[in-house]
Amino acid sequence: MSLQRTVMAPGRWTVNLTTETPNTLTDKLSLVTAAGFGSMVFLPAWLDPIDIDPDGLLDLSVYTGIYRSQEGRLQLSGPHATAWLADEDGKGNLLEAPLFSVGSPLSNWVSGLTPPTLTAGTVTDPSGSLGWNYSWANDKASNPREALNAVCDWFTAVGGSTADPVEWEVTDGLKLNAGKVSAVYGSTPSVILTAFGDGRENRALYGVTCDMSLHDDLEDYTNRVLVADTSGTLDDYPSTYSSTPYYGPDAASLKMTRKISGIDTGWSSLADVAKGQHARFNQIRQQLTASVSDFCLLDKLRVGSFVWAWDPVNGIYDTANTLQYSGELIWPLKLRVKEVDQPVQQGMGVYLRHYTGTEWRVIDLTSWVEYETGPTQVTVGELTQPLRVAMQTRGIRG
Amino acid sequence: MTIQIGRLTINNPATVGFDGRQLTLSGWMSGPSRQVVSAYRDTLLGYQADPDEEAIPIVWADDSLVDGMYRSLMVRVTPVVGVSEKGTFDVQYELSAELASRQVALEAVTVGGFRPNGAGTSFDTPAEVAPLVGVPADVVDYYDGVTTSIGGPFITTTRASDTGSVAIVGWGSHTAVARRTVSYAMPLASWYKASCLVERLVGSTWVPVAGRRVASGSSASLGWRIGNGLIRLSETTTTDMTFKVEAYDGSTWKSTEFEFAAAGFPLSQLNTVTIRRNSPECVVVRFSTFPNGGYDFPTYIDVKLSRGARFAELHLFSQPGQAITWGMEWNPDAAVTTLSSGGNSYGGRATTAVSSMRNYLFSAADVNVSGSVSNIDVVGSQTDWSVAIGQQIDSLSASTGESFTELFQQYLAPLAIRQKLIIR
Repeated sequence: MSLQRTVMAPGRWTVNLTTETPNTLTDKLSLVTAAGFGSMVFLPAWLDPIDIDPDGLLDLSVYTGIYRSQEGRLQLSGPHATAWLADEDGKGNLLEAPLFSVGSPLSNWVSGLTPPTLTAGTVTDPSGSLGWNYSWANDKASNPREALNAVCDWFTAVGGSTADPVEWEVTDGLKLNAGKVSAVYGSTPSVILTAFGDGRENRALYGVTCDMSLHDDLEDYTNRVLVADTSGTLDDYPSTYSSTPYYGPDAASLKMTRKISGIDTGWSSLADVAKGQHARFNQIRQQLTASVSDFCLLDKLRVGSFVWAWDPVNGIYDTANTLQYSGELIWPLKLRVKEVDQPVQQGMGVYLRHYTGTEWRVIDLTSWVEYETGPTQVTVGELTQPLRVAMQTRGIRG
Repeated sequence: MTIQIGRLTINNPATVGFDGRQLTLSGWMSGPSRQVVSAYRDTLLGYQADPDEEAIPIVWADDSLVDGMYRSLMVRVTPVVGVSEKGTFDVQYELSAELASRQVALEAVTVGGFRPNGAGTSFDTPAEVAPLVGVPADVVDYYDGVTTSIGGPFITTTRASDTGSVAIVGWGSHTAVARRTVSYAMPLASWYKASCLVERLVGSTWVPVAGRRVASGSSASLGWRIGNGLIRLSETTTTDMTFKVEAYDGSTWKSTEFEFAAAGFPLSQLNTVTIRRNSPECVVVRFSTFPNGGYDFPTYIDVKLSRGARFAELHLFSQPGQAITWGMEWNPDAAVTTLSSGGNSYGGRATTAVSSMRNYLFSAADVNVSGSVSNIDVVGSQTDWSVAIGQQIDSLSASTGESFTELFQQYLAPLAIRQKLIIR
């Protein structure tokens, strides 16, 4: 039972109700009734729904899910509202008419790909104009979510960078934001994850005490990329294998090639795709997981935003960043929150908001939720630095 | 006979159980007053799940079998119920702990070496900075984390603290912010030599505080003191906030005072005392106060003290975005001169030749600092301010690492240090 929120992915929520929950209520919640596909709204505190209009409820939400499944009488679940772009299976309000532009900024593409279930949020245009002919029949992007991913990838290569990619976000207020990560989420962290202390720092930086664990792998490591578009045209990057510290059993430098085919011919440069993919995979993938016991972390930590992380004993530091925190100068690592998995905690407000066909209705479930007490798991990373000697000054190995 | 549990030395336990790893003790702690015994009890409880001192020394005078570093303490105490037949106040305690190591072998992860100057950049010239690590002078097997040759540590100097000598080990040549894993070992008895310490005043007795919990009654002004055997800070008045800074010259403590101001008003008596870190290698205490006149916004002073340092590092800040003018006054005013070198362009200032063995320094890592030596102001209004207060000892000023220039270089080279027990 938890609220899982992931960057640019549908996520998942589950809520268990107590056995004291009235049948009259759970009957209402049955999938076969009008409550299906309603919005499950989680607030950091209980509010009387009489005092909030249904739209205001969404504005206060720290997690908005789609109510889609009922296990027995008492377990409710579904994906995050991000699934309104397209669910885990790619189903959704697909754009059946082709969307064509000879060259449009990101905001035009986001506007054209926003389904009616979401409203326009804030889109900050990076440089570049994409000419593309989008159609649902396109293998690369058969639904709005995949189309947005493809569009963002293109703008990342042209107007963003590996360190500051172009992304989209579905907010808990059901708005669609897009732009460079630094524009969507801001580039200054408001939370520091640390093994040593907690408390607010000048009310501008929230310290979160946590247990951190590190994960390093070379599962996706690549030092050369081959690409082919749908017409069979080939390109590569780099022309020979990039230098690597690794060796194979033949005692020769490792040669690990990634092949990507079926690139849509609408893209302007196969070489850029190859270069971008090389930059993405020519590195150790590093992930940091923090286990946090704070109440309703989702209220303080926006999934997708940057956080500081500081645990030099375990190699979590970055000599490039100096920060005054808790009376000491520290050199923390700046990472992005990729995923938060938070239990539904006592003290939160839980509501089901749905439209009956004639009016909005809000069911207050707060009194009947089986709350959890476990820690919140925060996954941060991956580090976007390419594999290099600088790993000794930043990140995981000192 | 007695048993040492962390910083406490108390009467022999009534029962001792030891299976080679798990130690269980029970007994009574006695003291001359209810308040002192309560303070001992608080200290003992403070060692439970202490985030800053993961293991503590336990030394039993009767039998060295149990001596070692212990962690995972469970402590249970009874309230103080009344005076005993002997006329003392007693507290019953039970304690269980797991032996971490019979030896004290440590790694100290250190990151840093350059301080930002308040204008968004760092002191990045190696000649401007001198990172130092303080360790008990009788450490062995010292390794500085980078030197490949076999040899002794690069000891800049050895300083005499009132709890034992401390070796000041330099980083030698370095050119950028760096991380080093220093390692060393020491006798069990040296764990607290020249260590950092938070104390609370109970009657006329200073009692050590363990952990981060401030015992009731010590959060008010005047009831606290932090020190490292070389300098110690406390508060002296109940009107305007005044730091009393005492310096140990090798045989006696000499003192002076510093006052601070914000937005043109002296800071008021401290409201709260919060321990943010309490480990032998470093303590950090946060005080809250406010400008005494015209403004009532909260103002905070973080005080960091490291092992072996002759100065405390202060960081003053107010509400987010609240840019104000900061100031500091050395009290009593005395004939002083401005230092002509040693980072003066960054605002470093020092008093000189006040009297033999009493030569206090204050220095600021900020480009906006100006004013006379005895009354220093920040010209530009800003949200926070960093400054050091401490002492330079005249008789040592010609020694390596002890002149004001070198002390200022040490201040410009802060290190974040975390030490942990290892098994070699």
